[in-house]
Parts: sequence; C-alpha cells; structure tokens
Amino acid sequence: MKELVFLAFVACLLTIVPTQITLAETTSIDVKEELQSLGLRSTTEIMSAIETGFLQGRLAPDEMVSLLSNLAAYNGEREDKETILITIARALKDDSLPVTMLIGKVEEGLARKVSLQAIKQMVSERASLLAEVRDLLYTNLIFTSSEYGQENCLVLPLPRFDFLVTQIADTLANYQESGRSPLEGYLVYQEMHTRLSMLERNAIIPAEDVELVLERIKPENLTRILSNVLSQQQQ
Amino acid sequence: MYHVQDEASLLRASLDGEVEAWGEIVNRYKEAIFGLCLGFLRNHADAEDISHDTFIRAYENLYRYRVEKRFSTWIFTIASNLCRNRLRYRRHHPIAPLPAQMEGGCNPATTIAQEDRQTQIRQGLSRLPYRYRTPITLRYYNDLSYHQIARILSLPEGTVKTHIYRGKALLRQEIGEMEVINHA
Amino acid sequence: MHEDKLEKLLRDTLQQEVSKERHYLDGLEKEIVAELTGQLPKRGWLQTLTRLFAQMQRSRRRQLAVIGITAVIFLFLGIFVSERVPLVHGLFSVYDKQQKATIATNSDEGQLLFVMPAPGAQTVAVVGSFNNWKPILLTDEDKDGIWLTNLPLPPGRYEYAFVVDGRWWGQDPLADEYVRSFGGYNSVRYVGYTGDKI
Repeated sequence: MKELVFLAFVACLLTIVPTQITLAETTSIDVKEELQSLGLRSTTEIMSAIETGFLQGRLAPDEMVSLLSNLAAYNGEREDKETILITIARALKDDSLPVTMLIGKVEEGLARKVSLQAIKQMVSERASLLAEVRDLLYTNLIFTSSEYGQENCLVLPLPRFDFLVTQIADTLANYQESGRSPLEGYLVYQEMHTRLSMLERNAIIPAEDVELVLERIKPENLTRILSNVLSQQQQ
Repeated sequence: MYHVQDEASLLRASLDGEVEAWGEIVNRYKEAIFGLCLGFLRNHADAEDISHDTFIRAYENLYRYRVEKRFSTWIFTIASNLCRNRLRYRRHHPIAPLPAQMEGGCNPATTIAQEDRQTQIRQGLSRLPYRYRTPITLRYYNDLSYHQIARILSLPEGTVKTHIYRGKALLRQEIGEMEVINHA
Repeated sequence: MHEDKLEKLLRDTLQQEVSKERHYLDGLEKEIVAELTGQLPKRGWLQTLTRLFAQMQRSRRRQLAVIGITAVIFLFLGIFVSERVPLVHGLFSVYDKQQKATIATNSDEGQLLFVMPAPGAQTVAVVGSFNNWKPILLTDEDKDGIWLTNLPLPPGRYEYAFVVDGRWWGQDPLADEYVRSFGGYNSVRYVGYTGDKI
C-alpha cells in the first residue's frame, strides 16, 4: 500500500513538474517570437538581457510580450524601436538596473501616440537617472543584495532597493519634465521628501527606508544628478 | 603597539575612537584593497582614489558593522561598490587605462616570453567586461573563495563561477589571437 | 594553454601590477589617520548616543526594553500635554475627521473609484500604470453623464488619465497629485496597505 502511495506521488510529481516547466518555456518562447517579429539586428543582445531580467525577477514575461507586441504594431522606424529596446536591455544587463519604469514609460508613450523620437529621449533620460540614483545610493553605502548579502547590515533586499531607486529616479524625472531649474537643490529634495513620505504614509514603503534616504542624501547630490543627466543628453 | 593586536581588538579600539588602531587596519588591508581597485578599474588614479575613499567611508560607518561577521567581506564589498560607482562616472569621463607594457624595466627573473604573456593578460583584462573582470580579480588577486566573491558582488555562486569561466575563456582567446599575430 | 598555467599567469600579472604601484601605498595609513583625526569632532553626547543606539540595535532584549520604556514615557507625556493644552487636543480631533472624510469620499481600501463627468460622451476609459496603459472602460448606466468604474488594485502609486472619445484628460480632481508626462499631465493616486508591511 505504501509503495502504491509513493508511486502515485512520484507519478503526480512527474506529471506536474514538466507541465510547469513547459508552461514557463512557452512564455519565454512567446517573448522570443515577438522579439524576432520585429526583425531587429540586436535580437540576441536584447533577448539575453530579457532572460537576465527573468532570472533576477525584474521582468515578467507577460509585460515583455505586451511591450514587444505594442512596439511591433506601432507605426515608426525600426531603428527607433531598436534603440528603445537596446537602451532598456543595456540598463538591465550591463548596468543592472530596475527597468519597470522604462517599460511603463514606453507603454505610456505608445498609448498616447507620441513619436518614437520622444519615447527614445524619455527612456534615455530616465535610464541615466536610474543609474545616477543607484550610484548615489551606493556612494552613501545603501546597497542591494541577493540572498547572500542578507547578513551584511548595509544592504536592502533587491526588491526594496529597486523600488527606492525607481521612486527617486521617477521623482527627479518628473521634476525635470516640469521645466524647473535643476539648480534649485532644495526644491528637488522637497519633491523627493514628499514622494517618499506619501509612500510611507500609505505603508507602501517601510519608514526605515525613507529615513535611510533622507538621512544620507542631500539637496546638492540631486542637483548634481540632474545637471549630469542634462549635460549627457546635450552631448 | 597596534601591530601585534588581532583584528577584532583593532576594530573594537577603532570603534572606541582610537584612530591609530584603524591605521593598523589600513596597513593590513591596503594592498588587498588597492589590488582589487586596480583590477576592477584598470587605472592607477581611480584605484588610488577609491582605495582612499574605502578606508575613510569604512571608518565613518564602522559602527554599522557587525563585529562577529567577516570584516574582509564587509570592506571588500564597500570597495567593490565604490568601484562600480566610479566606473559609471568614467563612462562619461574616460581616462587612459593601464599601459599594457609595464614601465620601469623588466624583472630579470622572468623571460621575455613570460613578459609578452603578461602584457597580453593585462591587455585582455582591460578589455574584459566589468562583470567578468571583477570576480577574476577577487579570485586570482585577492584569493577569495567563490562563496566570498558571491557575497561581495551580491551574485549567486553559480553566476560567479560562470563569469570567471567566461572571463578566462575570453582571456585565452586574447592570448591565442596574439600568438597567431606573433607567428604571422 | 593549460588551466593551471593560465591561473598562475593571472595571479602573477595581477601581483606584478600592484607591486609596480606599491609606492603609492607607503604612508597611506598615516594619511588616513591624519584625515580622520582632523575630521573627528569632540566626543560629545550626540556621538555617544549614536554609538549606544547602534550597540543597542545588536541586542534584541535591550532593544525591546528601550522601546517599551520609550512608549510608556510618550504615553504619559501625550496624556499630560493633550489634557493641559486644549489647542493640541482640538487640532488632532479635526485632523482625524478630515482623514476619515477623505477615505469615505475616495473608495474602499484596496480599490480605486474612477469618476469622470462627461455628458454626451460616447466612450470614456481610464488608462494607467496599473495595466500598462491599456484602456479600461467606464460605464454610465443611469445616463446622467457621470461615468465611473471601481478597480481593485494592490498597494502602490498609480499614474493614470482618462480618455474621453479618444481625447486624453490628465487632471482628475480626485487625484492626490499631478505630474507632467510627454507634454501632458497624468494624475496620481495612492492605494494604501493595511495588511503585512513589505
């Protein structure tokens, strides 16, 4: 009897596990097919970055399928679409940045029917901001970790770290897009303070993460980031 | 007095405000940190800056360090992340990398063939992507285990091994290509 | 090249690079000490407190004891102040009422109610960061020109806009804030978390 139960269990396992794997493979294949349908030269590089994103838990297959199919259907130059995807791919794989914000902005731009040029510009600026903010947190000894870094008291788990980076970068981007001067460090700092406070008030972000950032990051840091990104875009 | 104390005592003394005790920590770790930075960044100026910054920042944040954990991993993590920050900056403000040929004359103990090989390796290291160069430096200069490297770089151990394997494969290719050119 | 040879070559190369530049490291410890000594403020009460607090963070029992004592102190302080300072007491009660009123107007927890007055419109949709900007149709079942929909959403910050007969409207009066985006506006609302914190 015991042997029968054990065999039944193994049989169930052997049935369920391959099915799950097959389902996962199918989703990744969907992404690959959508990407290939765009007919880009950098398909391999982009797909490699996407797979890295899946492994890190920074990308979901359905969000990628949505982005790629919307881009494919959009009226515009193939080179522009490629540039947008390359920017996101490099931010993800080479710079190890959270890219959900970039994907969201592309989807928004496509929904608003703005030009691919405008979307390209937006994605490039925000990728730079993400990198600058991440580096600023590193400089102030706010790090991220995988499970191996849990014991190090200077790190935050990756999802929390990514969320902080994204929210701060988004705040800076909104400030810049509102047309205000990047030299008004105190104003930028206030915007960041307000954003983080709202997130904390709604218990979307822990209070200790907010304190960590407000304690270590100064208005002049934010001015420098905005000035850097502005000069990069002008080059 | 400090040079005979063990590391834990030095760290406790540093936490109590004895800066000279921290000086001894700097003395013990400076070569390891500098070598790490040089390996990662491939230029002297940045390696010097980041080594200096690492020790200053580590001291300023020493009260956050848990004494029962491995100090080397902690300080290597700080250096590693400051290096990454500097590399990001360098993408927009590049400077000349390490020269392939080491200046100041040859080491008489090595043969010309060995020197050529080392030149090739230096060139190869400078051309390696950062994600391969960093674990290779930590493994072959700092002599760390895969587990320690994984903790410092915040990567899974498997990824560390893969990156080291791929980095060495690229370096082998570099040497192989140079051999072909030399024999052409 | 054999694996062992390559590894030895790597080690030797990296070592030699550092050996060549070793001269920089001479005196580094003195330089660091001098810099830190110059920077160090006098050990005042604030530095001592910070160190004590950091040490306390390593001891769970001490941490709990301190939290407990602090909570009791502030409890008594709060009672003392509110009973003796009527303005403070009044202010807090007004704030509470305002909070409750806002919540009652907006929506249930975990849900966002979207409302768009658009008499005569053929279609009204909401697009937002909650679903990659795909349109979700609002309805006007009683034909009074007020279109609405209730969306269950996980906790987070959401940007959105309305699309009325193909035209984007980015400034919802019910929004918590507005942001500029692609030359237009988006509205922003927050859905709070009442369950386990992240």
